[in-house]
Amino acid sequence: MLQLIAHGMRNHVKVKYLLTLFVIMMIAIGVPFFTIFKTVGKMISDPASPMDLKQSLTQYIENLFLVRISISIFLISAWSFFPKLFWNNKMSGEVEAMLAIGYSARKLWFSKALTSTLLSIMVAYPIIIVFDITLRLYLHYHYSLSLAIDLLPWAFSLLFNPIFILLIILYVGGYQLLTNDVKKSSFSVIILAIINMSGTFGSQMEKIAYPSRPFLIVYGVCFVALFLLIFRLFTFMTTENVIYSKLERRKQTQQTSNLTEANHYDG
Amino acid sequence: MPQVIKVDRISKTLGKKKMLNNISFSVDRGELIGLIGPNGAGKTTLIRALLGLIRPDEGGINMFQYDRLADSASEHINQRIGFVLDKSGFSEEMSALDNIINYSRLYRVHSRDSKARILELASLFKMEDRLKDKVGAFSKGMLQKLCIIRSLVHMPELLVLDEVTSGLDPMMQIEIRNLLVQLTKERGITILMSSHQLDEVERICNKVLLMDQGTLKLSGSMDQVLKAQTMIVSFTLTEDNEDIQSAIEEIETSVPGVVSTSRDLSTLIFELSEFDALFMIQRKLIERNIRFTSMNAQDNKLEDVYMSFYKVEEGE
Repeated sequence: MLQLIAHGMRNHVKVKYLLTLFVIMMIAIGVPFFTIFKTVGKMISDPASPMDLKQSLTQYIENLFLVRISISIFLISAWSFFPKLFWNNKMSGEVEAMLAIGYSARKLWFSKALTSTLLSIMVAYPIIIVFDITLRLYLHYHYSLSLAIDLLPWAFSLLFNPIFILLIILYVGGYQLLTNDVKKSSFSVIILAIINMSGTFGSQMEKIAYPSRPFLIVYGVCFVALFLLIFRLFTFMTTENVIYSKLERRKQTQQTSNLTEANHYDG
Repeated sequence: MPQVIKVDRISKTLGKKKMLNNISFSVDRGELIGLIGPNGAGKTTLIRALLGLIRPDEGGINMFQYDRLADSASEHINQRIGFVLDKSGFSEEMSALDNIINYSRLYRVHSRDSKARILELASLFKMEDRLKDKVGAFSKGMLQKLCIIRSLVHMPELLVLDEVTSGLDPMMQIEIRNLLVQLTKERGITILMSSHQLDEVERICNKVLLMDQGTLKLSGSMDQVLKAQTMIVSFTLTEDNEDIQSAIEEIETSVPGVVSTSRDLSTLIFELSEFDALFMIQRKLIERNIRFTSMNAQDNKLEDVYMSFYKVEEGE
């Protein structure tokens, strides 16, 4: 498995690409995030605002980032590696070669999903840490506010969200390996939307983005649903199914298009 | 000779189509086997079954004394096989050297050892100066050579090649052909190759498997297969002779191995199933004082065997 992960990283990922992705994500998340923060900052800097409200607002921002935005960072970065590892026109040759070397389809599937997730972790962890440190320093020096460290949002940010993304990539990647169809990619966006919408109607400001009960329930249900879907794919994931659905379907499609072309000329 | 492959009555149905139908054959160490047949004959399916990419519905495959269909087979078998399939699976953005080193790691060959082997193989394939070039810039021929280098980097005992010379220019075909012969003779590697190039198979292979519609129609050593084909011999006569017709009749009745005779103006044509019949016909013609200026015996070609086989099939 480790050899396959290393092979995936060596063959399909360049440091330059990782750094570019990191910079793009920093800008893409930083600009809207600090725009929100600017608005909130006015309330925080207002001496008339009660201290509780200030704390709630800052906590809300951190929770929003750690729980909700971090899952998007993981998903977007994992998704940017997905075509390199699972889906492109030349991938069928590599898949066939690896299976012929003797690796099982399941190993190949897991290793590709793990590679994609590990790469997303390599991009997302530094972003999360840089943002949090920046936020804390900013609050400390400008408003003399210090944020308490709440373990639950951090656990989501650094542990549950990457696991969740691994499950999404496993499902979409497995489906792609078996059918050569990437339509299931929309599935991950739907799940992301459901999770981010869930539990946003909290009564207190700091609880809105917090992993509250409704959020945990939706998150848990999605987790279980993904597990079941992956288990279903697991039972179908054999070398032969990969070869004869992914590779042969592509071959048939090519033959059909050749025939169509030939008919076109004949006509 | 120890057996490398033993295929015993395997069948495979995909959808409604029987891709392999009761196929049996065996391959000994050091043989170079040509797998021929029209498109859709089942050659690639058979190759995939040997590589463990598909599982036959019936029958068994034994490779290197291990059961191919057992769960642990890949550990014992695939490490000893090199392969070239229709797609290379190389990363186009990486150099040829890095690509092969990466693949050799999957075979658990240390990069230090693999580098030395790659350089050795590259010199054999005369492409040591292209190893640092990106694979994306390679021609099809170079890519095929690179695939063969990859297939050899872990020092396999068996090479399975799927149409390795198709689409290549004649020079490249000759080069690859020579290399395959060299690998068999000098390194004792067993090679099973599918091909549509019948002259190529005839030239280098010592055994042939002919497949059609999932069935193995013909198998045996090259000599056996070629001898199984009738031979056409023609005699150009110097003058018309009254005895010719009776001589033909006598030859037809008394010479064993004469399948058919025909006369075309001053040419007598015999179809023979046995080579020895040729000398007996010659003797009969001389005895009857029938003079001829030339005798032309066509060598049997694999192409003739292939074509005659399909003529028979069509006739049926």
